[in-house]
Amino acid sequence: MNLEQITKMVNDVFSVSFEIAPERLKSEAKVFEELGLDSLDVVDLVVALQKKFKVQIRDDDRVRQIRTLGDIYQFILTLENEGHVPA
Amino acid sequence: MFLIVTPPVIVLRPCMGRRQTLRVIRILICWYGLIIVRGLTFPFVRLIYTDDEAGQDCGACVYVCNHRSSSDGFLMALLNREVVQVVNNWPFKIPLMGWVARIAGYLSIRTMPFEEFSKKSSELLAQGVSIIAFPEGSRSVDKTLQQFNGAIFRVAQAARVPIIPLCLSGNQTIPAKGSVVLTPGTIRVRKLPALTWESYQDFSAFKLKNRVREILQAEVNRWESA
Repeated sequence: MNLEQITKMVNDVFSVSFEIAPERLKSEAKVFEELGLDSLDVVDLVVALQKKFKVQIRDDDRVRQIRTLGDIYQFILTLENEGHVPA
Repeated sequence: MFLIVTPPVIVLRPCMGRRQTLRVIRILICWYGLIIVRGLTFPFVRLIYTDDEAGQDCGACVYVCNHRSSSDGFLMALLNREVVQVVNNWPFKIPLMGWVARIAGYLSIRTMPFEEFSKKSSELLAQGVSIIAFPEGSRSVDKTLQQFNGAIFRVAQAARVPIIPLCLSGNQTIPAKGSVVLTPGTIRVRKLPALTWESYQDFSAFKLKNRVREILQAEVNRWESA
């Protein structure tokens, strides 16, 4: 899976789970300040990402470092490179 | 507030149950707020309160309010009913007033985990006590509302209670941030139509908080661009 595919899949999660318009889903968009998620929404996001990518990220400390949508793309790409994301 | 609340409670407490005592305390806090917002501001500050559903009582509900000034909490007295406010931790640190807020059961959102907040809020709603929340968390610096925290919306969804948006405008300088000086002006408080549980039951918490934010933002824009 490449970055483009990951970007599309993550954006799908935001579109479906949070009904955020696609034009707002830019790599530099801040998840909290601009997209409006709060700490409870992040729990829902993690669940949705786990389901979408079939990975376990709930206890991964790197989730706490996420600030922008681009950070999520990179995080998933890292998981992919580490072999955690099933093909 | 301490002087208004304490004597009646000391006198009445032996012949009232805990629930009734709390009710009296909350009503007395409301009267104290009315004295402040109606009495002490007159005639320099004009206060306009409109209720879109006057005469309709939807029972225990969640009031969601935009946050403009330190006077916001006092303005909630205009609702004139038994309520508990969701506040940051600092009001509890105010001598005497903080003590009264604590015994009235005000909810400190910063110091309790969501599970505890949800449990206490649900208990209050089940007792018929409405809850007032300022989900921006801190005052908006201009007329654009900050992002909402969704905790109170999740509580409303679980308890299946109506959500009533309350829009405040004009008090951002009464007093201004960092000041205690009341400048003359007009404060508007509008109680907007309730969102019933039936109308939002299919919404996610995220969608619900943003829907209410949009309603309040539209009202602020309407007033402040006029």
